[in-house]
Amino acid sequence: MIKQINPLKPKRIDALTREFHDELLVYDGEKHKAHCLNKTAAVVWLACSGDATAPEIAKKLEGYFHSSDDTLVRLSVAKLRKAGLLENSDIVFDSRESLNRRDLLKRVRALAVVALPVVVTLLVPMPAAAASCFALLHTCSSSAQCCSGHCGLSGIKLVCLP
Amino acid sequence: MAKLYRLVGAAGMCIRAFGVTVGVRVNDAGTLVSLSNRIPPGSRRVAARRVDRLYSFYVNRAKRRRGLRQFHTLYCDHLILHRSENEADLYEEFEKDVDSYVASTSTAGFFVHAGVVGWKGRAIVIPGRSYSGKTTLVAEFLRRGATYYSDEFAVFDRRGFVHPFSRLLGVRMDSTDQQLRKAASEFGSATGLLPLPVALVILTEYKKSASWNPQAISAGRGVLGLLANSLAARSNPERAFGILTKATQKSCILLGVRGEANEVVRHIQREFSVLSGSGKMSFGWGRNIHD
Repeated sequence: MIKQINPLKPKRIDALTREFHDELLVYDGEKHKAHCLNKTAAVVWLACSGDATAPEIAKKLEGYFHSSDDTLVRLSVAKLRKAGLLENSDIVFDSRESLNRRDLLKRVRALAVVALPVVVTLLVPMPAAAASCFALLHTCSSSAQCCSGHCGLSGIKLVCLP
Repeated sequence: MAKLYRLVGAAGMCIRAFGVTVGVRVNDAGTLVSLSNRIPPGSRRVAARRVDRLYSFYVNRAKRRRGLRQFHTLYCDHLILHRSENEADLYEEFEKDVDSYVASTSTAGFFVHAGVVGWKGRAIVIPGRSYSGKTTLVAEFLRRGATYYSDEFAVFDRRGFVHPFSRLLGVRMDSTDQQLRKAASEFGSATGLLPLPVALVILTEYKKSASWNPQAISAGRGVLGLLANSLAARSNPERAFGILTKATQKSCILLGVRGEANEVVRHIQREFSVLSGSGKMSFGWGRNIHD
């Protein structure tokens, strides 16, 4: 069932974070996803405490954005939601809240001192996926070694199983 | 297990590699000699009462009899890891398994699937999946005077320095897809011994008829690129962030597909200049190498 929520009160998920240069690295331990947020996205994400709407967040961040216009906040929230960094990311919001790229660029032109939000996401691999992994029916000693992620008994031998 | 112990009680050894202790027992002392170049690089023999994993080699030395197949067996703890009529297969399997085990369980080193070379006292790290062309690039760097560190794993310590993990290079033959083992000296290169700080991370993949036109990307995205090829990030992400941010603190990160390896190496050698002291790498280009 698709819920519609309005007003928008985004809340960030619980995750491991680390500031690095001008960026924020976030690790979502539940989904094993790592994210890299640029400064704009990071500032908005940290302000998403669940008790403020986008215009309210924009007002809070007026000093950073040099404006109380909520365009960048709304764009950031949309990107953070898509990356799964906000709670209830599966909920579809009222289409009136979404932004047309052309309108957005027009409005952002006025706020050119701040970079557009960027969120880069990566699914952290299982050890097997990262290393040279074994094909099906290759002998193995742990599931981590198999491309299939499953090392099991076949007769008296441990082999990679589907 | 007791039965297996009796079977392979002729000789044994314990090794410690990057904080992981592994035991080996054999039924024929000569097997230990064959294993000497199969143990993980950087490991040393220790006297340990307990090991994290025990490998047992049963090499069948009985006289061959007509009509009977003669198998050699490798056990990992109490389970059969490999069984083959060819003794060399056992050593091959042992090498793969022990490397993989050490890489995924080590607490002393953080392993990333990557090729590594040393250049002017700093490391160039090339992370990537199998068949992404890491070894080809490493071999090309070696031909042009770089020091060999690894073609399989970049091992980072707590400071973010890269340690050597220098097995023979596994160069894939185009026609058969078989790996041919070659020493770094065959490319006219020496093998590095000391840990190095990272100067450059190259996130690339081979694509036929592509040309090397990389972009310099942010250090945060570089950390993601290394995480994508790390073996223990899921089990301890906090440690992974800590080590990889230190490693990429003062390094340049390049992203882009590549064609021939010599094109990449020529470009990097041309642009590679290290600012004196502990300064950040300078490559003489901004967003794009050809700008």
